[in-house]
Amino acid sequence: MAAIHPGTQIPSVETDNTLDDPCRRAPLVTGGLDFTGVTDAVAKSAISRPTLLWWVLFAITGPMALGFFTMIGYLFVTGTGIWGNNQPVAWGFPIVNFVFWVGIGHAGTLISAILFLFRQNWRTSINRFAEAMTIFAVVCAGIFPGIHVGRPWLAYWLFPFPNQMAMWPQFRSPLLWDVFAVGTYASVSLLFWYTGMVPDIATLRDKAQSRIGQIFYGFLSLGWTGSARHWHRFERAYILLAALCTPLVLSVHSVVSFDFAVAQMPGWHTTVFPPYFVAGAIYGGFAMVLTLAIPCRVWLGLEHIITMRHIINCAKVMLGTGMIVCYAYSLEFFTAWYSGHHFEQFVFRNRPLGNHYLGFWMMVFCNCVGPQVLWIKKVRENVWGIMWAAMCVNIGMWFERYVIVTTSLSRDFLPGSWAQFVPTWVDVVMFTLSFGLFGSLFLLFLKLLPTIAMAEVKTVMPAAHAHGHGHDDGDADHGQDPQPHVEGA
Amino acid sequence: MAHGPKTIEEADKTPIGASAWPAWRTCVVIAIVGTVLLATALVSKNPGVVGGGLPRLAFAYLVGYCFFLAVTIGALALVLLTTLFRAGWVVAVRRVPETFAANFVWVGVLGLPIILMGFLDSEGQVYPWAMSQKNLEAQIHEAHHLLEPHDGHDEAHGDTNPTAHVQPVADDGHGHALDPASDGLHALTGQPMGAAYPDEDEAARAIQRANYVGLLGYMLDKKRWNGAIEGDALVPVGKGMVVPWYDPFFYAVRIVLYFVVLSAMGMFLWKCSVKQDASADPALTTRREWWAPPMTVLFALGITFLAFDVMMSLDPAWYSTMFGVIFFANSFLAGIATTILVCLALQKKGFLKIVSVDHYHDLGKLLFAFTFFWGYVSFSQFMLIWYASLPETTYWFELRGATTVPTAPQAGSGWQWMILVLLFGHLIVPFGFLLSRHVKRNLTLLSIAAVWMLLMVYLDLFWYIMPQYRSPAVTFGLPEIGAVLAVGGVVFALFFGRFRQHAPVPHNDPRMHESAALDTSAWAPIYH
Repeated sequence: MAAIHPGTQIPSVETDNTLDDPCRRAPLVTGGLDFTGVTDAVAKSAISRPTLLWWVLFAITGPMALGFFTMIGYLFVTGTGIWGNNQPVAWGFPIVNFVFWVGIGHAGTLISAILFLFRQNWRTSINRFAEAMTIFAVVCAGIFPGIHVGRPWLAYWLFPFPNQMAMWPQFRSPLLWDVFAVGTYASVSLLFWYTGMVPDIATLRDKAQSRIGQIFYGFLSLGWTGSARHWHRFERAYILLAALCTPLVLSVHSVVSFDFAVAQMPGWHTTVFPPYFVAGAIYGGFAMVLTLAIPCRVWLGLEHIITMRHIINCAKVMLGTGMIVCYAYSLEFFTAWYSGHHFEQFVFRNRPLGNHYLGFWMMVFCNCVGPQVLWIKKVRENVWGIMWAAMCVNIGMWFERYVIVTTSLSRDFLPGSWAQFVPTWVDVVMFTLSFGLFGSLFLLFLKLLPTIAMAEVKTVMPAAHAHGHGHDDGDADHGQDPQPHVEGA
Repeated sequence: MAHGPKTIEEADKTPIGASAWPAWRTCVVIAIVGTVLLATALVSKNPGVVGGGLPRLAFAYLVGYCFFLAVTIGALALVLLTTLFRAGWVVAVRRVPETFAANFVWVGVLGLPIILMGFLDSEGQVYPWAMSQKNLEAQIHEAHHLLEPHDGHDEAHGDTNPTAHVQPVADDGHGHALDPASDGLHALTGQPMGAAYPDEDEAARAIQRANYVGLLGYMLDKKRWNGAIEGDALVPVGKGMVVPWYDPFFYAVRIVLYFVVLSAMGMFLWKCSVKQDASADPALTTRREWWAPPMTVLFALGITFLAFDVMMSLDPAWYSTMFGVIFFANSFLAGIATTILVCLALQKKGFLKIVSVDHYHDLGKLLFAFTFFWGYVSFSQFMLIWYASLPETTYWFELRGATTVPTAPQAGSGWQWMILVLLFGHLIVPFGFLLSRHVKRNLTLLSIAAVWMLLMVYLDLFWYIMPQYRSPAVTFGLPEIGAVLAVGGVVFALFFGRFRQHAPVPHNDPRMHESAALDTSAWAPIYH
């Protein structure tokens, strides 16, 4: 190979892997870390005591999460009238928050399933915590429709089960399809996350000092020994789960988009909604991945594993999906004009100029204008530039759902039924506090579980390959090993 | 890696040159035969296996043309997207799609008849928006006449209420539903117009057409003449676009623009690649990759509006935001399938020695993925329109056989069967077939799948285009076959003409070694 292309070696201690040289692939782990170095860096936060910063953050998110449940309790004893939802905007914050949170989750599934099938090795450094983010986002998402059903103690009626009343859910309703789509998504994602984590939990089990830790991780590691047979089964299961997860990346948000698009409501009923929603979900998801990854890699000392290259790649995916979202916005406006459809045209005039124009312009600025700075290489190489874009998207994607829900419902076919949607303080507070739940779960994950898929990261290090350049990490012994080691296994 | 580095053989580095001559000659012969077959559309006025006159010729050509447009767009997409993603695996096979993409400009030349139709087709037999104002008014008049249960020329035509046409199909301003899905058929067939149509089926078709003309008139007054229909006449209202969307000249400018942009991309990507054969300069790869993101944006816009203008505008009243995405899915499938088949054919002749079963495996995976993606977007489009059941969009599916209304003229027609063939043949069966890795790695089975998917892409485009020519009758015969052979012959002759001049493998691409060492069974392959 070297005869064809000189300069294809991967140097030993590289700290900047952001350069794009078509002659060689940039290293994904920098700083001269070897297998042990990776294990130590990742396991440190799980097996040592929480840092002061962790406690400070948990002291903020924990009470917020409790406050969230308190608000749910308040809602249950009072009723949904404390929200701003009312006719004609019967779908207010709860559905907006649901779509927002469930969208966030998509990045995790894309990274762990689709990028895996596309052999994108860089995903290994971020897939674990992106998957964790997926699950916690789905938890937050699931709560909102659950508490929106009016009589939440009967929420189990959403599931089709034989009952004495011979009462079945409405199978023709996309809201019921949502129950199945999100339910499948949550369970398969959880399974995928946990399966991928088993070898790493075994590593933590072997590294744990305390008896409780050993029992905890020992229980979770399902008796993993690291034998060749275990690895074989593991890889099989992983590929199958990745294949199962792939259609779920498309299906969940497609079904969410059906909630809107099957209606005759102008602004909702357009055929491009399914792929547009999926792209939007991945867009929002990657923004959240970046929001979490950029500080976490510094706090946890993982800069050599979640390198700048990973951050830049995420930023590029975010920009790409953002362009798809902008394409869909433009197409909607074009088609509203092209259709010659009176109501459709009205809705799309009403969005920028009508009663919710602020929301619309927030959406356009945050999703289509702000993140465009990522086209500039210098901005992409600056974490603050990426953070700006990610924050824009976090805000913009919430407003996108807000605009879709409120502009169409508040200005429907009959001017006589028009009404303005005004959220109440409960709406705003509940949405804000849901971040507390998300943050708490995420902090617990950072503290207790392997934040990075150690075993997978090791497979993309040159030392894991028989023909790897042994000088890369100074650990040539591992170089002959077809599988990464799990320490002590 | 289990196996060592592969070296590129000399044969892969030298242009195939004169060896391409027999293939080129065969393509030219096929193109000539195809043109003769296409011309059989002109032998009579009655469309059957042959015949049908100029409209038949135009539609047959359009389907064949759109198919090879899809192949070329798919080839460009394959090159562009793998450049965007800096893929290494594709390099060994890349020269094939790259060469198709470089010929984009000739595909544009083959599209000239489409531009001409906008100017010459004053009866709107292919593109209804090309209809002259006089012909449209005559059609509207006829439709009104047909839909009036009694002579409706009294109070109705005095109606100048400007809001009467705000809702396209709810009401034609005369108190009668201009609803293509109208079930008022029996009420209407008993009326005087029934006498003109002794056959009830024919009456149903006439009413379907008349209803459609109402919708068409409403759309064209806006998008073609910036006017409004009053009674049977079109009156300019003095607002709208400076140049109407369906002004033939504006249309021509747009089509030329799409082709200029897409051709420039195809040419640029190909040029950089063949230059690298000689210079081995990695900077050429960097240049391609630098341009790939903005080109992808232009590509997306270009093919969306190309699909809108060339295919969706065959029915200027119907619209679907998904249309461009579905065309992309079809195109990408066609591009991948063509790449697989051409590579296999070249390998049979002893070229492309570096291409291994792993490359086919990866192409097969993409074929599988986009078979599913096609199903996803096509189903979404259908399901959303069916579910909302708005007559201004559902009639389009009815015309294509997607109806369970027993009184619809298309009930039980060939189009209804075609939808089932598309559902099973374009999605369910190939999905199950291509799911297996053994199929994707068995070159015989994979080539069967590729041929089959090309057939299905053709059928899908046929299903999009031909009902605008005739429905419920399905028109397929020698002209349609001839168009495929004619356009295909030209496209492939151009392909071989270009392909033979350069090395069949971009052997000096800096990622060539990755492609040569491709091992799809590796868990997390890394290349040094």
